[in-house]
Amino acid sequence: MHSTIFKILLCTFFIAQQQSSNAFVSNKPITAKEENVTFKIIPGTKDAVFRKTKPRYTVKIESTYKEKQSGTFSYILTDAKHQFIAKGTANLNIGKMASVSLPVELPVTEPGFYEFTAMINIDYYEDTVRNVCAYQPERINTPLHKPADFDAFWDKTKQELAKVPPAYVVTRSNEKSDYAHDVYLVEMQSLDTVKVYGWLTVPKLKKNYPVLLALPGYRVELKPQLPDEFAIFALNIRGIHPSTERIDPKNTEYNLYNIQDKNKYIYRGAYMDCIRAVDFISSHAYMGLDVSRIAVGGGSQGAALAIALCGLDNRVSCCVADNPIYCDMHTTYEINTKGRSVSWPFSRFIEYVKYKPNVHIDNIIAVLDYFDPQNFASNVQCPVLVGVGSLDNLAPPVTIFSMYNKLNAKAKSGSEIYVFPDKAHEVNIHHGKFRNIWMLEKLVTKHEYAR
Amino acid sequence: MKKIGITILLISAVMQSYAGWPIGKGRSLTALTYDWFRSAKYFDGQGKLQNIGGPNDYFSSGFVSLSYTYGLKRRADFSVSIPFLTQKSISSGTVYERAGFGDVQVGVTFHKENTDYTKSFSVQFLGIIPLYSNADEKLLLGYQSLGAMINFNYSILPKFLKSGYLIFDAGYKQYFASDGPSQFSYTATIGSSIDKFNQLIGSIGGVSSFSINKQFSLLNPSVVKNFTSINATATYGRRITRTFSLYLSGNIIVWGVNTGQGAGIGLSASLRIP
Repeated sequence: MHSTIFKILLCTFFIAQQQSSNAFVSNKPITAKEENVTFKIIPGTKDAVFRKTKPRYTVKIESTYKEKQSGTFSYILTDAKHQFIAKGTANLNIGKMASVSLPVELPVTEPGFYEFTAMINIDYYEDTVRNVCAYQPERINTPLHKPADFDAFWDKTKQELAKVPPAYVVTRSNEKSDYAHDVYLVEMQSLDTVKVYGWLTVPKLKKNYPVLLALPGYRVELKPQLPDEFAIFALNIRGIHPSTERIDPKNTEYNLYNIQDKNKYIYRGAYMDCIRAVDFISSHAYMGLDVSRIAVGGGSQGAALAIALCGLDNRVSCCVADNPIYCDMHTTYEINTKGRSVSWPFSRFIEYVKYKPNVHIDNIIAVLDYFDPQNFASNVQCPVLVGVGSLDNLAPPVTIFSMYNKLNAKAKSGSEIYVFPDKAHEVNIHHGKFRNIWMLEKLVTKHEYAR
Repeated sequence: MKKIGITILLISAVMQSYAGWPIGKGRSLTALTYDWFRSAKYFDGQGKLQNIGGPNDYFSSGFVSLSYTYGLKRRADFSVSIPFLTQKSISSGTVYERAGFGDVQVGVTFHKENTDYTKSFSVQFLGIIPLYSNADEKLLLGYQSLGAMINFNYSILPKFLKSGYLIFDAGYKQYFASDGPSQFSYTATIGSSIDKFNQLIGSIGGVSSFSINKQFSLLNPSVVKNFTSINATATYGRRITRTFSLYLSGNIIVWGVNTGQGAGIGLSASLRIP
């Protein structure tokens, strides 16, 4: 009986703050075997990024109960730092076995990422769902905290690296090679004469393969990869097996290793390891590598390394960076300290200073400023492809856009950034195929340094 | 110890160099193709197989085509192909021969892939420009008419076909001469990689050509305007270097109406840059 009833009823929809005036509820009959309520919030764009309009959602509530349901819908809107922006409430009257639909426009004014928390409380059901949306993210502009001696610090570090003989040792691995690929273990000396290792894979159909320098995620050991369109040099930076002869932070947190001294901090050497890897690629064209077409890529820490590398070394033609961590550490700190809980990596930094009475978190952040990808962004000379997970607590999306928006005009002209609304510290799996298309597109032109 | 990382999936970049997928912005594919075809029989107006003439009579053609595809945008390609034909026909002991450029085809293709890049749909618009004149010639290099063509292509990387693909093509070609013809064509292709270097491809397709001109030419069955034919092709592909591949194919016209029956072989070399 009820399934044939079609009713449209307007209900009171009161929003305490700013609210769209066209909000309405429509009851539509539905059929179902079990009694239940489903509650969904659907963003007005596929990626929940709103560049031209205010963020808009459609709230859908579907009831299969044989009794009418009444109660309230409400929402709370907070910004990326978990600060309250707005809230709203609406009365709900849902017919027997019916669905209702509410359009909601969020009253945001400033570019940024926002958390939309929606709640329903009706007779037989209550639920809370969350979604993160972005409003004009390309206009996010957080302050830059680039130390005055940033460039001098890195120039000096690069000079130190240049004095270290690379001492390359390239050994073919019969075990890792297959009928289509030659795999080599590459040993080389980097800053402070630390030995680091990487796996170079060259497809056997040799003819000037573009090279992808793959950089590792946090504490992730990269294994040889077997591509067809690229040669790949998978680098294991210092402190990651097997590059652990001199530095092996296995009993401590990697990113705390010598964190109080920017000159000894592990990432100072790690960033130089990446440059040494480019040195290796550039000097081994005879192995079938097209040294005028070098891409760099990584996810998470690998993405941070990739961006820093591109800011330090202009031999790279393009950069792929998914969910880069360590971007805009000042904003990250605010997000963590004002939020519900402290996420990694800041949880480790905060924990660290707890046990070091003479060290303040500001001292740690001051060191991190030398390693923040945001501070390298303006020096990046190549296009960058960035992937962002809207729900990412480890690499908050607002911090990634903060970095991305500071790329210089030349780099940004070929750069692209994609937001994945249902992902945390990851990107959509299909993005992997697009990365390859994008990289090959950017590697069409030979890099000017090698022309 | 915490490990946080995202494996940057370097899936063996399935940069499909076969039909259907975009070539990639700024990239190019140049292909040189040679096809040889011989026909000593034909399908008559009722689809019955007949001899062209005496036991020594036959028609053969060589077809050299240089084609070039360039990625204008991520999902738009420009393509042009220039054919050169050689023809030989023996009829009652008389040998007829001719060689010359054929119909140039030039146009653009627009692609649309699905979100996981396992399916691609494309639309191609081509213009047809004859580079020859058939005046006072016994053998005709083509219809000697301007024309236009639209092709639809749907390519799939199906889950059930490991390292394989399916391609479906359908096209409509219209020559602007008073007697046309209008042609509908279709092809279904299945391809599968044997390994990283070798692949096998099989296809079956057909053409239905409609014209008020119903004539059949025993001398040159390839320029008949009103006909139907179905052909099958088998191809072996070998990747020689990162950018260079060779393809060897054999084809046969298996059935038709008002069209030549014969078989041919083809050799194609493709070079992708970069």
